[in-house]
Amino acid sequence: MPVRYIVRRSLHSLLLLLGVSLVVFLLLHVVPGDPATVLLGEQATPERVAEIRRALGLDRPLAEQYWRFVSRAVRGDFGQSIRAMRPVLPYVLERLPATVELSVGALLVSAGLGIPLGVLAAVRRRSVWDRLSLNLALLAQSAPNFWVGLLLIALFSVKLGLLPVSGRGGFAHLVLPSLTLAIFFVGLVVRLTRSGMLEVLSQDYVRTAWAKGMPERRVVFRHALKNALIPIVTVLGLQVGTLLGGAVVTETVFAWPGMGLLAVQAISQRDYPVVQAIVLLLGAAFVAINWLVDVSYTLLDPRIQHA
Amino acid sequence: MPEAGGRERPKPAWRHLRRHRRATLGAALLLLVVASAAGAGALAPRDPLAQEVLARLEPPGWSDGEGWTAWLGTDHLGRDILSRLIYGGRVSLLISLVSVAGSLGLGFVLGLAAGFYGGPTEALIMRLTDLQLAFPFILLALAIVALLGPSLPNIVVVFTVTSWPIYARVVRASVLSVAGLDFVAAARALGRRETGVLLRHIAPNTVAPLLVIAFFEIARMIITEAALGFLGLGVQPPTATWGNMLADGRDYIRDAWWLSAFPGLAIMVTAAGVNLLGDGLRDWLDPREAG
Repeated sequence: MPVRYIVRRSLHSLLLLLGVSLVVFLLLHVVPGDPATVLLGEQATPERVAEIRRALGLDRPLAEQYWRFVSRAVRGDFGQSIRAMRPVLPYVLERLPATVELSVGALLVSAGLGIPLGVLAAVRRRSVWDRLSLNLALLAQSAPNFWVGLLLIALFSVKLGLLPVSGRGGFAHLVLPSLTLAIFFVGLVVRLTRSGMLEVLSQDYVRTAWAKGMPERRVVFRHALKNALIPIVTVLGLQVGTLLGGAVVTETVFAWPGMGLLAVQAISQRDYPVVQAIVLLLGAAFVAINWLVDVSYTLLDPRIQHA
Repeated sequence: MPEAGGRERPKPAWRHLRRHRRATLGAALLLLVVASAAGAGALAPRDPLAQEVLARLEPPGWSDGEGWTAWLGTDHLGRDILSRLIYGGRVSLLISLVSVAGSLGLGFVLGLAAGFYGGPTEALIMRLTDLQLAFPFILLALAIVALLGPSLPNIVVVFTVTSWPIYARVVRASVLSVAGLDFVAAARALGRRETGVLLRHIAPNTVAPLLVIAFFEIARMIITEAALGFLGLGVQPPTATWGNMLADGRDYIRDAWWLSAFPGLAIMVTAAGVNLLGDGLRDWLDPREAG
């Protein structure tokens, strides 16, 4: 019964969200010593420390602090940025479109390169193409993406002068950052597509399609790929955290004004309300995306059974 | 269902890996990196921290005419890049190996407990593993390392504490699949105590898939450690680490490509070596996925 499953899956997501908020809250408290001093540094005046303690409610019992944190966060109140001196939420949210743009760009590149290569590798198993795809996937998953970004800048921006070095603007600005962020996922998608296709291609209904004399292209794309895609999307959903983590690094390389760049700056400036809001929002995005992936499958594919 | 006798014994891992060309290549790459890191003192042509004001940003192959040839060039402080690369491997390998060993141990114990005891123990541990996936690992690591202070032990602790869940998941799954098999029931019927059954009969059957994951995790740790260094929160300069070298190289990307090209290449070669070995090991354990 899908309704019961959806309810259970939703409760699970809520519980997870609560866990995410607890970790984000505890972030400031894992450090030995007084969080206010940690935030302000050792040289801070006692008055300033006391002020921050009061402002952040750090003089209250831990459980009460957590309750306050959660009930405010639910209402979109993440407090004031310590450096920017303005409410955290709008400050963080105005960076959201840039990160979404970059992530979508990277996903399109990963799918656009990874799926055809993976299909080719599976259909022409053990051919030159197969080996080429697998080796490409290996390199893509072994190369640090920030390094690839630097090399791309050196080649396409500095040497050839074709694309901008950094910043956000039109399509030209998006090319190198998307490629950089995509590099790991291209490798992942190639491998997933290949092994998914190999599995599906050996199924009876695919053999039947061949036996009926269907053209190869129809068998591969209509019958096989469509069914191989489900596990690919599931795994990609679980990798959203990795994608957003990659965005943190990629945005720094290209000075891309998204949440990742803001997070790195906030971390180096010890602006922890901002860091907490970003980590919480990214965690919530992960929970929401995976909820969506799971629930849409239940609705789309009646064969999926849930114990 | 496995039978007690009559089943053909699989070939030992090393014999399989020797035939696996990609795994052999991986082992060779890794051996190269490990050997050069271990023998850094003897192999590095120069002190990795020695600065030479008159030899800043010299290109690969540059020689001072007095016996020092900078095969991979010099950096913005006139330090020998090859020597820094060799010493930097020590940091990468140390952090990744110790973190993987730590998180594997932690995940192994928690996964065994979850699979074997079930109930609330299992529920708690499994919810914790769900939680870990929800965070961008690098962001969490950055935030905690920034608070604790960027030192080698702190980085290892953060990596260990945030990376055990994948092992716990896999161990729990193996425990569940093994626990119902006949040989476990037989051990119980013979009067073995529960802890004995767990440690002697169940635990050994969960080890193989863990090792495969450990290899892929080593690659991930090496890359993440470098990213931390690149963002300024790795083991602090002047210590030579691959991430620090890339951070320096970034400022000179216009005029001196060799500052960033070589450390990145070192990371990629090491990670590829570990990944290839992991692939080989996985193909040996689960030939269905084999290339």
